[in-house]
Amino acid sequence: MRLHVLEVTDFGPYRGTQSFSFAPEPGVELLWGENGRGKTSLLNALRWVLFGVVLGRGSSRIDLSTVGNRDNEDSGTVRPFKAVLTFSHAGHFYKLTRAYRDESGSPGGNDFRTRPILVKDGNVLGPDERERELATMLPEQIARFFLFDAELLQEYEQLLAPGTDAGEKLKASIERLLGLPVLTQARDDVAAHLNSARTAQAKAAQKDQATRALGNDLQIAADTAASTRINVDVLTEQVEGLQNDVNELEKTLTSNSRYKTLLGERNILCEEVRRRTRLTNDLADELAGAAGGTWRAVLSMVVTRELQLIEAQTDAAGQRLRDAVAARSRAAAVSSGVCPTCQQSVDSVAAQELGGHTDTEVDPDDVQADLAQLRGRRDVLRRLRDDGERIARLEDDLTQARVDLSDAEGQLRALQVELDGAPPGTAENIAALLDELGGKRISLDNTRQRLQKTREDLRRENQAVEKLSEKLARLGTASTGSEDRKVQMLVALHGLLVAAVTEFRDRLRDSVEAEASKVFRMLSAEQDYDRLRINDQYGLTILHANGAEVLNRSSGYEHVVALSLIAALQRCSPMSGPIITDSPFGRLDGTHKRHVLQALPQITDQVLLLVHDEELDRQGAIDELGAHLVGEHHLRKVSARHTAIESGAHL
Amino acid sequence: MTEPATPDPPGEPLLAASQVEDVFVATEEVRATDFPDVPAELLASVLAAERDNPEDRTAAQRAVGRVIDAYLAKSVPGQNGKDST
Amino acid sequence: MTAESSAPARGGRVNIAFTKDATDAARRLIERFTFTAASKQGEPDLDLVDAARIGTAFALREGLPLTRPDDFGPANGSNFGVGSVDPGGELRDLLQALHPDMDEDPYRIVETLMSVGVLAIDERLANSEIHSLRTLIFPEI
Repeated sequence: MRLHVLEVTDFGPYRGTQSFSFAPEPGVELLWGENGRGKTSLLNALRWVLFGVVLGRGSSRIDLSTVGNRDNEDSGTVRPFKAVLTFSHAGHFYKLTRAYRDESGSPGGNDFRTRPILVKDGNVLGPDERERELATMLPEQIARFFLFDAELLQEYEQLLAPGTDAGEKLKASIERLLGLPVLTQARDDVAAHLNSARTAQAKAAQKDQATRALGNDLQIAADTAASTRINVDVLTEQVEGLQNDVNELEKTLTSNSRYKTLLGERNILCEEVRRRTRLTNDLADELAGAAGGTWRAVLSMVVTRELQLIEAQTDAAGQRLRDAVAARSRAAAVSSGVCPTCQQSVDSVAAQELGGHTDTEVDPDDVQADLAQLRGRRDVLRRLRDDGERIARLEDDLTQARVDLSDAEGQLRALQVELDGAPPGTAENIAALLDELGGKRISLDNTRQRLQKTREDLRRENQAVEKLSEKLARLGTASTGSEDRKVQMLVALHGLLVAAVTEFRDRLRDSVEAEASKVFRMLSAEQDYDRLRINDQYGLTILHANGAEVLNRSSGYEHVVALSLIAALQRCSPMSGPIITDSPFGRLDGTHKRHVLQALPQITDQVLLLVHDEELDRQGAIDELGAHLVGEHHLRKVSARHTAIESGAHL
Repeated sequence: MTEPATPDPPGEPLLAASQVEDVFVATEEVRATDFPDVPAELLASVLAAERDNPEDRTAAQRAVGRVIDAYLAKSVPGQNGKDST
Repeated sequence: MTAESSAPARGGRVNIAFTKDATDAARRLIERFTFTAASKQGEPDLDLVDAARIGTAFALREGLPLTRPDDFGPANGSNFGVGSVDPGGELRDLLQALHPDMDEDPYRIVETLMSVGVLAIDERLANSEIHSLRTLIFPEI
């Protein structure tokens, strides 16, 4: 399959009618566009024109009524849109048109429907033929291996854990891609015909007296087996349906789990804000109580200084007092001739000496009075209670608490804005979804068990039918001749198909493993990694040269392994198609990007990479691709809701 | 015919063209080795009927039925055992 | 000199008041140092009496003159009984202990100091020399 031109009209950000022309030569094309410009929309336009489906995050479907290009955010208006794709396949030329428009016939009507039209080699195909052609060329379940974005690669990583429901579905897709359903369905259809043949055999046997009883038994046994087979089919469908439901719920929850996390964070933050508010208020109250003592704290410096002064003055006064008392004693000794202290007489020589002192008349009583005043002042000043340090510390704590509270409140506000961005009812939704998921999982388990048991029953019943049928054939009467022959042939054919399914599955896995290993070696830069091994779920393990499993792979290698698988599937599949991918390089380093660019042209002959220049260095890509680079395009922003597709790289 | 098991030397830029595993080819091999009694033509027609009706199970089953009946009608009537066409 | 007396000495003042400007400054001081939510809703944590005491203490610490400057103006702003500004006479006693030689009515001095003190604080609040209780209590060197 090779794409020629994609024309879109009012699809997503593409206003008016715009064309994207694929290069006619085999090779790689690059479409440059920043994130949010419309790369994913272009991919969606392709998906839509081919399958009528538009996908959003987590591969969930987008409501078509929101897709048409519009001027304002008026979600009430439904706008029409259209896409036309021309392509070639198996020697034929096709033009596929899908239009979404109002069919009510009245202006401003609201009966929007999708109309697909497929023209093959100039002839318009009828609806049945159209569906058959499209199903043969590129069925939806395997399209994901041709038109994919980085999300698919992440989805693939989940497969590496065996037994997941997502794994079952992807495995079925892979087997479908590789052609296995032709075989499994042939096996099942032949089995169904075998059953009918046995019933016919029984009926024929009933005509003959000799074989009537046996014939009746065979018919009953075949009927029982037939109805059990129907049960198996019904249960299988139910299991599939439940698996789908579980997958969809898990996907929705995953995209919602972000909100669940946000809600959890918000509750924690609310509690934190409450706690900090309490703390702040308590500190404020305490500080308010203590603040009344501020004036004393202000005074305390000068009081301390004054106390020191008073101390010095007291010492000085004490000295003065001692001097005054001594002077008085001396005076008394001089005038009375007797020392007042020791009562000894003072002779004239001593008296002369004492008298020679020039004493200023200091009255000790005055000094005592001074001392008393100093002591009084000192006592008053000492009584001052100083809580300055405590007040200042409380204030510091309160300020810090306020800052912490404000931070928490800010975080809470920011969180609330994010939560408000969620669709209404999201919080309630999550609880309901979790309930539903739990219930579905239980149903799935129960149904699986019933299916297993029913399959067992079917096996036993089929065996009974076989035995009866063989017995009948051994008796070999004329009336059952042709039925016997048919049964015998179908038994052999069925056995062949059963064996072939196993054989084919094994071969497929071997092929895919070999191809994936080849591609992996081209992409990988690790000398240690030798090849890939595939498991039942198409999960891949990296092996060393000696066959040992690589246990802790370098990060980003999931990406490389996933790309290897996709490339291998492309190469092993009877279907061939273009690879169109959005952000293929997200988690790869420079070396691996180069390898991917080298490998892509050899995996398929039409590749379109939707990239932006943060992700891929243009000059490097040009150098790497060389002659394989056959086209460049870019998306130009005309306005917030209008993107233009233009050729050439945007410089 | 699957790809030979020897891998390309690492770093070599050219990926050899791969052979797509063909359902028809693989099943025919199984038939030839283990189920020679089953006519090759019948097997091929049954698989073709499935390939041409990938989406419609009912149509596929009917087509297979037609193939089987057509085949049985072609073989000599009244003769037990193998077909001799 | 006793520390106990609570009767006004020498025919001292019974009421004292801020000047008008000092009243405004005192209000600003009170607004600035609010902590509790109740305070923000009109019941201040510190009241004008607290402001008066803080102003007086500040003036004493800064060594502002005890005598009333010529441009002081009339003390016709908010007024208080001395019993509410100085219950127990603690402030008066401290004032006398710090300035034993003052010869004025201590409460007249308090009336002077509280206005000049509060105006001085107001100026420093305006230029952020004082920006918290801590920097009020412990002036940065």
